[in-house]
Amino acid sequence: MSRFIRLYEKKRGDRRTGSKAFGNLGEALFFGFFFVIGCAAFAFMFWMLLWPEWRANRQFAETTATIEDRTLGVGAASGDSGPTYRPEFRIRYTIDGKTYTQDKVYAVTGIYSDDKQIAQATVDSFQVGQEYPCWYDPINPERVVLVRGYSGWLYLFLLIPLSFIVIGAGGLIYTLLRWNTSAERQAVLTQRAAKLDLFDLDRANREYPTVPADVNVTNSPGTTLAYRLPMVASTGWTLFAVALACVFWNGIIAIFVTMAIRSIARGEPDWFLVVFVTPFVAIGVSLVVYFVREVLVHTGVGPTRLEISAHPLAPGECYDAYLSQAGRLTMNSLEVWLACEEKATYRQGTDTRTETRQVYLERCFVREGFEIHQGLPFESRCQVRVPEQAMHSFRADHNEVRWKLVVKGSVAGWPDYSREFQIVVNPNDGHDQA
Amino acid sequence: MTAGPLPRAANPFSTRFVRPGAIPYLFPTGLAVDTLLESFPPGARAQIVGPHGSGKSTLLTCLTEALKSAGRTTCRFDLHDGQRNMPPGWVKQACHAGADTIIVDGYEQLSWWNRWRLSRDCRRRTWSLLVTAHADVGLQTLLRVAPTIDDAQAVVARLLAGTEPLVGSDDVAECFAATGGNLRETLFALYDRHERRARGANNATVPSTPPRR
Amino acid sequence: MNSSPLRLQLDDPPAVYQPGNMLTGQFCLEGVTPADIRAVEVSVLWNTEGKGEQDMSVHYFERIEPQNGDPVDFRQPQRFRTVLPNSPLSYDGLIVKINWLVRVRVFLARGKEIVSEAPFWLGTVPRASEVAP
Repeated sequence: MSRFIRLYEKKRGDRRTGSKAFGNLGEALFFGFFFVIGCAAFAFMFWMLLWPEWRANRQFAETTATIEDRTLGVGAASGDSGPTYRPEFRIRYTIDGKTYTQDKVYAVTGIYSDDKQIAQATVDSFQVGQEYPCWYDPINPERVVLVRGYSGWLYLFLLIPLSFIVIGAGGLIYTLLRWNTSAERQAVLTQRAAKLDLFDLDRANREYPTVPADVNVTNSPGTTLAYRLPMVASTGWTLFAVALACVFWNGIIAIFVTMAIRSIARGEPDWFLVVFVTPFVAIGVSLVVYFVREVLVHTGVGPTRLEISAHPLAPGECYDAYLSQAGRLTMNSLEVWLACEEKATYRQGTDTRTETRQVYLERCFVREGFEIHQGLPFESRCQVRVPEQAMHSFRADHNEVRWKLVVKGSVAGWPDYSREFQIVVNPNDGHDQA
Repeated sequence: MTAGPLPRAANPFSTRFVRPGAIPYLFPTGLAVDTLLESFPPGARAQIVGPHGSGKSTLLTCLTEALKSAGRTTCRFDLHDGQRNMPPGWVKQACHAGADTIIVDGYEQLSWWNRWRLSRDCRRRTWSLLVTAHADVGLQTLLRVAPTIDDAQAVVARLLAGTEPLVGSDDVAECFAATGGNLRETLFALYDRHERRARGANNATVPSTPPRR
Repeated sequence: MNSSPLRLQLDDPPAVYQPGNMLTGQFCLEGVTPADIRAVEVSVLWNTEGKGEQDMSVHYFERIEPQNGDPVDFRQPQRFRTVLPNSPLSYDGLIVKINWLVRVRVFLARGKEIVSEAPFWLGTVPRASEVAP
């Protein structure tokens, strides 16, 4: 055992937190437990429900029985729920000249239910002394039922053991595959699983691994050029959140401000309250100013549209871009910039830390000192050139290199605004671009 | 962008060199991991308290290994931002691992109800409990972690061992002061300084290999 | 001085490889009894480095194990080859770097491992410079 599972490990180079094999054993036992429980529960339900009903419907033979007695069977109460009920009949029937009498006959599963009314109604529907069809087991004629069919809704309960089996088997397989596997081998197994894409949605991504798919762009045709670029962030939700914070904060502060003002009006100023509430009022006012600013930007500055002649882009190539800016604005300047930034995410303990760094910035377009009129958007074209040996777009779980076009507007008397449009740059490998 | 690829030695402050477990916890003089273990007998419930980036996770990693060497079986749970509950099935996981010590990194994230349940479950099974938190959470304090400038200097010296240092003790002092004593942010700030100087140094022939240890 | 028993080298490595180039090399193991070697894995992979968590992906992977109980003689050079992909290209960024390397991992008895790496450069992306926003 110690040959295969070391219970401890020494440190060599990269540190270890303990025996990987021992941890894997624990994991395997954990998932194995789920799997075993699931199998046992499924087997139990199959034996008690599935199999008997199937036999009753497919293999039992029909004959006629006479009802000798009928009663409402009462089952034991479980937990907090009351007693349960089922119809029970004593019947007499004849098979091959032999007469059988059986008690507590109804359905093959013999399940109780807590609905007394339905059970009683079933009992009442059979008359003592009358004959009714019944079905008996040819293998064991003493086994007989008065009704057949399937307890449809009960089969939903099979989902419970099935989910245990799936979780347990999946986890067990995953653990066994990872047992004593190197990081490289685990990565390969994960990548192979990820490649099982039945709908082949990510074909472009396989040609250029780690380059983000440009589906969001290429399924958005432009009206002037080939593609319309989607804007990165929607300000709608930001605005809503700021509004909510504004109302909530100022609503609470208003109570204290009112109390402070009343105390002053009474001639008995509560200076402690006044001093205490002042910084909170300042925060509230800042929130309102920020909210108003965002509203001005959001409503005053109309939609910005950016279209491009081709996508994805390639290093060293030149592309046409079409800019449309709506609104009723006096523009100090309107610019389009091509930018590239790196983004790194580090998660340790309770801290998630994301940092971005800009590594390329070039202005593609600028217009200064002009008016945009309501209903008549400003339109212009420009050239976007990706540098010859630019790094391509890259996206991994925690690290990114992303390219974007940024429209920056400086509006007279209003806050400046900036809108980003993500683009994808492919590697420069000499292949034909889209 | 400058022309031509220039393979260089790895930045010694990259995350793969500074993450918990990559560098050992440097105990202050007079304190060793064995001393801490003596204060944490089986069945004890204790906390390691310290601000962000003070080395709690690194210390926890060190203590976990020491506990295993001492013959105790641990089961560790790392709680991330906003995680108010223990992971589903954690008790079963710990039982099947045969754990006698539960370790929770980020304990203060748990709601008071889940903290109570965690304590109750550990008490019932006579499990030891060792947690990290940014502030006192009412358990016995095993260690209060507050890195000093000397600690930062020692960590950086360890990271720079066997490399061509581009940052000095003055840089460490400046970054440590600028980040308010947050050791993790200090290392990130030193990353930037090292990177800036390496780019300015024009080391065209240095191969792209990790620093020797 | 390399005292590792695992010798790994690329064949006449150019200054840079390009996407679609054939990467070839060999490795051998000296001073280790073949019977002690449980398996050897050869990987061509990329990983990231910098201020984010490390990401990694394997482009080429081969695991060599004893066949029918006969140990492989790793004292003889074992060759590997693969066509390099279109991306990601090696990148020397500010806070994100992408490194390509060949890694050979030898699994010995009793859970011991020997690892050797040979980095290489894919593509001609120049070093990034910081730009003020």
